[in-house]
Amino acid sequence: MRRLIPLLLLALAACQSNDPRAQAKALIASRCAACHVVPGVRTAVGVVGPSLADIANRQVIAGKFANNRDNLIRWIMHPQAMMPGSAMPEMGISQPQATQIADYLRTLDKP
Amino acid sequence: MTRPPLDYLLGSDGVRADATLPLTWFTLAISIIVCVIIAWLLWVGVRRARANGGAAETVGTPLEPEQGRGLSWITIGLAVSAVPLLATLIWTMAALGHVVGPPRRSGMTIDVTGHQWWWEVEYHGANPSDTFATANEIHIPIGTPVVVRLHGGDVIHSFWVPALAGKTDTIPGQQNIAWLQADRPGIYRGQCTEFCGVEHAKMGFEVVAQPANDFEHWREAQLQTAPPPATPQLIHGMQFTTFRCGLCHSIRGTDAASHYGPDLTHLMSRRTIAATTLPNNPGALAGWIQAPQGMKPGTLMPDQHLSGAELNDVLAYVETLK
Ligand code: HEC
Ligand code: HEC
Ligand SMILES: [Cu+2]
Repeated sequence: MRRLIPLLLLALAACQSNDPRAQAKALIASRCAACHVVPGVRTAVGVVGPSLADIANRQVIAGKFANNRDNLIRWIMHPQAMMPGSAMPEMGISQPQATQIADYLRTLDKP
Repeated sequence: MTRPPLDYLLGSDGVRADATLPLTWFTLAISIIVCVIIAWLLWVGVRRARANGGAAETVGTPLEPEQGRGLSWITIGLAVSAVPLLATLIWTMAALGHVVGPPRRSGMTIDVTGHQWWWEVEYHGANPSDTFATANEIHIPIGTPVVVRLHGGDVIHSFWVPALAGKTDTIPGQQNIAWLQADRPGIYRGQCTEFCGVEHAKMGFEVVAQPANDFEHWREAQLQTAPPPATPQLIHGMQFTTFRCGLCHSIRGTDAASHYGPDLTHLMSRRTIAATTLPNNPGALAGWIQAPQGMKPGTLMPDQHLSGAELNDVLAYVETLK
């Protein structure tokens, strides 16, 4: 039984890792949750930055950049390069991770 | 490494839990068996009464001793229940013998203080200069009995690492003793188990059991003071951090020397922040520093209201506290 449980968990993790939405949610829970409210991620209740509830509908991100996929990915990877001094820090997020997160955020269209 | 909930019921990883876990299962099994037997007897009795015309039978006359074997069942019942009770008693005594009192030859003694809502941990060595403090992450060498002197910082908390040992309260004004001995390397979750205020649930900690060599490396690293800042941003970050955060935190090697909150000298060596509330990565850390009340409402660290630039400088500096 003791041996079985990690195996089961592994199997579960393996199922999940094929699902980019689940992966994006896990990333958001670990990296962004302390600062943003993100629908679909239970622990994401942070109040440092704006709620990302209907980010897909927003025209502009961070009050400055056109809201498109490329800009969103870039923003998640390098907010400090785009807007030095923003309270959103560099978090060492890789391009594939940022792409996953951005694709998830772009489905959030309900306020 | 996340573990499934209640997995400590499936196996133990420390000397004390080894003694109590089988007993836990035994008492649980006995209790379930007794419940089932009693329920079954009751059910049979109810069925019988109904078959004999229901409530009328309950008016029945009292039994006289010479009237039959009815009364002897009470004696038999007592005798039967004495067996598991006695077995449990003897087993409990034997288990207690294993878990009480720290072993006479303990390898190491540490001090742990429960605070609302985090754990302060202090290590000692042969010299006073070998003393250092850390928080929420207790490292121990495997195979060595470690005596844990428990102190209460404010209210009563309780120290529990289910996979390693049972609970012991931390009581203000009193020193309680617990001890831990891990059989194999691993990260074992601990939790406060005495309700202590709003954030009681988020008062976890981790015990990292490691081979003696790794433990020694960790201990030596923890003894180092914080590195001096190397860039203008880090210099500003350090000034700001010691000035503002030093009111409550210490960073050894700087002016920050308060013990109100966790020691931050080696913050980045820890896996989690705020008593296992958040994983320790730059995003969670920055969010915590700026708005701890958002993630752990009621925690005794106030929101910091930093500007974006200040937050980035503080973050850059605390990230050097490896
Ligand atoms: C330390 C806090 C913090 C963390 C961690 C953080 N952010 Fe932000 N974020 C902010 C702040 C503050 C803003 C507002 C910036 C501005 O407008 O200049 C922001 C803005 C944004 C925006 C633009 C929102 C808008 O409506 O303009 C997006 C999208 C975003 N963050 C995504 C993320 C993602 C994804 C993560 C995790 C990988 C993350 N953030 C982590 C603080 C944070
Ligand atoms: C008024 C006192 C106070 C001030 C000021 C304060 N803190 Fe804290 N801090 C605390 C307390 C108390 C905790 C423990 C909170 C908990 O876990 O519930 C804490 C926890 C932390 C933690 C988590 C440590 C760990 O190992 O879990 C970090 C990181 C931290 N503070 C950083 C900072 C920084 C950076 C500043 C300055 C910008 C700061 N704090 C200012 C009281 C303070
Ligand atoms: Cu508690």
